Amino acid sequence: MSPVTGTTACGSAPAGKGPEAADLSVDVGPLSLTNPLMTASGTAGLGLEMEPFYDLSAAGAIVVKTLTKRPRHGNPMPRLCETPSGLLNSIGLPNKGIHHFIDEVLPDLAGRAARLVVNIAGTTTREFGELAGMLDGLPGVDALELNISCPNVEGGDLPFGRDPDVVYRLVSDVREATALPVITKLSPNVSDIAAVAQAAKQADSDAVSLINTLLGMSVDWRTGRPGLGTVVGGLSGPAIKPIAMRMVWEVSRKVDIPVIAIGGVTTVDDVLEYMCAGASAVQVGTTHYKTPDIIPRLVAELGAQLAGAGRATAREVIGSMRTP
Amino acid sequence: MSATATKTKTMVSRAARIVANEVVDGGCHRLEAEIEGTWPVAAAGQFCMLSLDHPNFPLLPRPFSLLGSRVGDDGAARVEFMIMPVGKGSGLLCSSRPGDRLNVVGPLGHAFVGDVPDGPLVCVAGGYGVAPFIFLLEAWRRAGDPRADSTTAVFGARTAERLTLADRLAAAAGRVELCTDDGSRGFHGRVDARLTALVDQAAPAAILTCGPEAMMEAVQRVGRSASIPVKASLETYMGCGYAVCNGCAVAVEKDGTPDGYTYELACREGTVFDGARLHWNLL
Repeated sequence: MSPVTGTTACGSAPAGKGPEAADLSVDVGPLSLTNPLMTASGTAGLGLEMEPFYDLSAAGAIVVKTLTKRPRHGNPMPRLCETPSGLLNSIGLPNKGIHHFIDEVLPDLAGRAARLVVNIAGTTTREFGELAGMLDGLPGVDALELNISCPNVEGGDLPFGRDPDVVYRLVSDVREATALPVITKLSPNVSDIAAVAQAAKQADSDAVSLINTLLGMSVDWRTGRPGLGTVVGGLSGPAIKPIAMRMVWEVSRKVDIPVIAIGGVTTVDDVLEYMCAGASAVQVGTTHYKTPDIIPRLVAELGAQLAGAGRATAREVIGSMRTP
Repeated sequence: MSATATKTKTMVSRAARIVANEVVDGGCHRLEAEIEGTWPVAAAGQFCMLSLDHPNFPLLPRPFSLLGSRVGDDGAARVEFMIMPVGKGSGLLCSSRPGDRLNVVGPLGHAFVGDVPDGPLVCVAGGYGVAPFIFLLEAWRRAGDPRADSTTAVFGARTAERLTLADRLAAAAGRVELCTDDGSRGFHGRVDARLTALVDQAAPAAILTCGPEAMMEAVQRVGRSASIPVKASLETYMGCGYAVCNGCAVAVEKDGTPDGYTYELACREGTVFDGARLHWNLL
């Protein structure tokens, strides 16, 4: 997929520096990152859970698990079901609520990550604005990510993520409440994801991240039981990568907004493929479960991989795919 | 590679090399691996998430109770697990060979003994739930801790051949009571029946249990009727082992909540729980 493989391409590493000298920094709208690797919300806790494994500042950004206005229990078990190359989940956004995060967690977390992105979900479009207002201006919070697309809350897929008009209103409410960079996380469970991305852009979302999980289910015919306690849940992992890739490409081609790719990233090639297809940055999710220190590993490999391919910067890979 | 206890890091992600893979009783495997790099001090009841780099290994790592964790004279840390090849992940682990690379995340969860009252203990194990008790009693035996002698182990399985590593347990424990459902070895009957008789003879300070859920629930009933605290190590579906996936929720009693219970994570708050707090019918 790489359009350029020769080492004589423009932008070779500066003389005197080793191959690790490739510049990994990228910009996601107003949010500048030291490298394109972010944790995907819901797979790295509130960030502090990762600290036994690596220094949080190694990631381009840490994205915390979705916070809601009130505490949530989460869904009944079973909440996870492994499928070929994938993982179905129905966790149900368990969290202790935004107040607990602001009062008890943020003071400890602030300053540890290179960039801290706080993911929020409201039960109404107005509540998204309310949550955004509560986080606005808090030390240590660098951006917000809006979870308009969780498939695992009451009533199935939240309606917010499907309707471009609702997304426009929701992002506008958030925009009014905060000066923080806003990333809108999109659902793949729509017929035209670019239309939803366009609505987010028109409401001044600074970037979009995609994809959230795909609706899926599994069943054991011998026991007659579904794999998940809620029957239907969200599919993640390498199984969804080609679908996410297609959506990243579609959105980045049709909408003038920075895209953060999410879906089945396990290797540095996955990272670079998403960037080649148009992503400015990439989130790592399900892979955290097997390899907690996957982010620093990928960051190290990314530098080596780029230098080995004669690329001086990660930035030049973004959108470099050549359409036949 | 020197392995030293780390104070700041409670859990680590490490590469390890398989040094032994042997079939023990009933088709169960004993896997031993040497950790590359530092390894924290681990205690009985803690577990690790294991995976292989094998291309067919499933997406998620698999949780296994530590059968042992020690630093040898050469300074290298070695960990041991008991693995029954029941599925794809465990099957691949059991087919690994000395020299193969094993990915280990651990040690995870809480140890069995910590807030257990002083006095004689009874450990009730079912099937391969015996692993943490072998770890516990061998560690006490090596350290010259008198609890190795004052503890009674009750170990039950369907048949004699499923009493995995029973001899190793017997060598470490002060007293061992074996039970089989078919009477092929030891007491003919279930562990809770044997436990009831033991508790009637001399009430222990606490009962520790690990094994099938139905067995542990029966053990909890015995403990409750005799007013003896029970600590149960739960086995749940688990995605990560370090509290980020939220896939191992366990229903525990909580006053003041609408339903009278809340969820805790088996990997973080457990896997050892107070038996009295558990909502057994919601597990």
